[in-house]
Amino acid sequence: MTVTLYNTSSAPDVLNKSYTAVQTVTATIKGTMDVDQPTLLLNYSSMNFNYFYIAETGRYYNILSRNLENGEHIRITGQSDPLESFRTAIADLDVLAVRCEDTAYRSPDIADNNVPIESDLQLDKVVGDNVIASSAGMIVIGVI
Amino acid sequence: MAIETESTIDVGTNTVFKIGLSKFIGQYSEDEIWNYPYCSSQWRFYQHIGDTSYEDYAPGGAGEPYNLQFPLKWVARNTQTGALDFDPGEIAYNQPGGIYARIIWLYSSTSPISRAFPNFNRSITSGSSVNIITSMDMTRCRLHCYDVVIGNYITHISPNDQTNYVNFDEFKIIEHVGSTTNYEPPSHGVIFPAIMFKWNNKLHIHRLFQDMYRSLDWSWWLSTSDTDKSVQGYEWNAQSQSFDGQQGVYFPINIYRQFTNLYPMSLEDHESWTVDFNGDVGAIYQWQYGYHTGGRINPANQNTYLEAISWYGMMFEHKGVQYKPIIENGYVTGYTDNMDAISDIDNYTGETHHNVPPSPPSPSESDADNNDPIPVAAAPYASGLARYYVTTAASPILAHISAAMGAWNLKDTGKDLYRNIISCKLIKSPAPIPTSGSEPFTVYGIALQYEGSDITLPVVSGNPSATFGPYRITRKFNDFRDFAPYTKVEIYLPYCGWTVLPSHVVGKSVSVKYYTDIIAATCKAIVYCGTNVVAEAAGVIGLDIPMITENAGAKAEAVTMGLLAYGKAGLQTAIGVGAAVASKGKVGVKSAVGGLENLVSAYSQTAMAFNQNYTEINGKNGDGCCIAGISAIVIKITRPKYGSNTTPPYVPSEYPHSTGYVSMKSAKVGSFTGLLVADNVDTSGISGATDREKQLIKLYLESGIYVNHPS
Repeated sequence: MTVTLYNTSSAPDVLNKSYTAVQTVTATIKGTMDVDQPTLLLNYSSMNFNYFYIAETGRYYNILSRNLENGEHIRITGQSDPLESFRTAIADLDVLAVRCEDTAYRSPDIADNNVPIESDLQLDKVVGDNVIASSAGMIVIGVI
Repeated sequence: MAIETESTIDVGTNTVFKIGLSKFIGQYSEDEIWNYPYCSSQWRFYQHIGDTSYEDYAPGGAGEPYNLQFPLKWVARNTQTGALDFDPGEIAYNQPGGIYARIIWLYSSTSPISRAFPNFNRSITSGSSVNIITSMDMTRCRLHCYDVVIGNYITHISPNDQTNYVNFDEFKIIEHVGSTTNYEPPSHGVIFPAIMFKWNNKLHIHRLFQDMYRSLDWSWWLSTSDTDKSVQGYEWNAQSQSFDGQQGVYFPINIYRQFTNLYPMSLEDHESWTVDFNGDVGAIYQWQYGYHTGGRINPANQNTYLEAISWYGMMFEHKGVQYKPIIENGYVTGYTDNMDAISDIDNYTGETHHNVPPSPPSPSESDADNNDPIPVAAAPYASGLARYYVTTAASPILAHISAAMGAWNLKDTGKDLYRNIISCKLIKSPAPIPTSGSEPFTVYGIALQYEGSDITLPVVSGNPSATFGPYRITRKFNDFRDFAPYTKVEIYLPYCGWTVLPSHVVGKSVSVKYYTDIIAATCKAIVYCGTNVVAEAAGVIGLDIPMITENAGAKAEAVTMGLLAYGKAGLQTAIGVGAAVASKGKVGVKSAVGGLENLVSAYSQTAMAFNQNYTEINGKNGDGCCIAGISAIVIKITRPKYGSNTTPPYVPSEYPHSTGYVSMKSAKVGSFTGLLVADNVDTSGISGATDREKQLIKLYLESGIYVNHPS
């Protein structure tokens, strides 16, 4: 089994993770292998990776555990990362965005209860024209 | 949606226009048919003189360096905000006909036509000879084709040929054979008019072009043979070195993802978007091609091209509302203020002459801002059998009248002239009281005299009215917080008091018109937002001077009856009533005989509740006399706060990334950037995933993921 080892700093909830390849190694399986949570014995002894890809399953995996056995081989257990494994199909999904960071898709005039609003208020004013003259005024006398 | 066509729009002051460029194709003429080839472009402003002629409105003249800048420059720039607006302090316009904008599409050519155009970067300083723009006829905005292209490429420049037009959809790259002399199009080529504009502080590039426009040493552009590569953070420009200065536009770009879509980018206000023609641009070329000749496209890559969706049409802001074009059936059918509406730009053909000129669309029937004017009737002036004389409160004539009437009464003629004075009011009108000329002060047919001469006073001939404003109520947040219940707008209307305005006036301007009734000494203040009435309030503009036998209105009959019953004694009673009222204001009332001027003087200096007899006022400001107190219109805007309320978007800095803005829009996951929280995702289309994996994907999307776009 061919396993490509990577280092990634991307969080699990990132679509289109960034990772750099470390090494492509062979691995052996004992007994049956769970495609979602495989356990493999790598033909590799360094711990300098935190992510891997199994060509046979076509999936990327987060590492659940790494154990160095006999100082020569690392036994890893991984958890499939469907976000990365199916990133192209996911990117092509049509969705209704409830919230997003991308301001291009923001609906600013829909009320957002999560926006913090303080109890203190800001007072602005616009002072317009004088309407009432400062003079003493006019006397109007109605006479028959 | 109704479309206004021939109309003049009163833009008021400080209206900001941001107009993108249009690609309309048609026959050039001076009427409503548009002609829009695209090439390099610039804005010019013209002042209509009558219907057929115009003169250049922009100052400056020939010889100025040609400078093509985007967003399109207006004749003035707000030096504080950098916004492009008309500053009436700097621009004056007093000619009939209005101003309109005209886009001149230019082809670079061997002839120095660029030198004939003014430099739009010029700011208008105070004291210049430019005139105030009081209105802009947006319907006259049009694209003026000076030069034409025939066929699929530029074959000639013909300033006088205004009958042909170009269809740029058919324009194709001609193979570059490495020699300028053999190069088609002509070597001066076409300066690509980037169609973009700044909108809400974002640079929008919506541009679909499938052809490369190039010249040799003059034009630069970015192209890539790798369509999956995005070029972020670099600047693209089209430059011509055949003109003085830089001709073209420089802007930070972040495009070329999937060749389509709108890529809004934050862009700070720039006086001009100049760019350093530095190694970065060269690096891109090198990166893309491994070949850099200082701007010349690699002939091997001549068939590559960039694609990005661009706007075709006029976008503008009018009275605080922004509009963008609607493109249907291949041409512009109207304009909408829904900035999220997607126009069918991809199917724009421009092959008809039906493009609608840019005008704000009429709102829908359900729109509270329906522009159908609400009829308002002014109070009619009807003096009936009486004549109403008017003079200033400090006029010595009042003393003369008082003396003359007192002297008459003392003659014991059996006629009490005071019974014929039906009202006497102190008025502080918002506008001068119209009069029909001075006449002898005549009471019961008796022209009173003072020291042997007739006492004359102007006679009231109508009810004055006055309009104040407009006053702009700015938005602060550009989101829901600008409206009720978060933001509250109140207006103090002198004479009337405070009243609440509907929050949809935020971002717009309001004006106030006062209608008065001089006889009743009342007024009605009507608040307009555009042509819509948004509030009204009633108030009083005067006080009764109770030296007369009766007040106008409801009290008149009762007091008259009292006088008839008591004669002179009744007069004293009436004075006593007046005194009782006056005592609330702690003002002593002197004898009416000879004391009229003193009473006037006393009451005009007193803020007290003589208006208690009048109708309760909406939003009244307490018991204060309404002709005293706050004399100016004041608009109070109460806004919510977050922090210092000085840094847009007025949310915690991590808010967009950690929480996200409300969206409620549909799109493909890959079109987002950053945090995305979706609703009820359908993962059935993900081939090869197990049910568990689909559930996980659904859970991820509905709880939130971060969409990354690695370079």
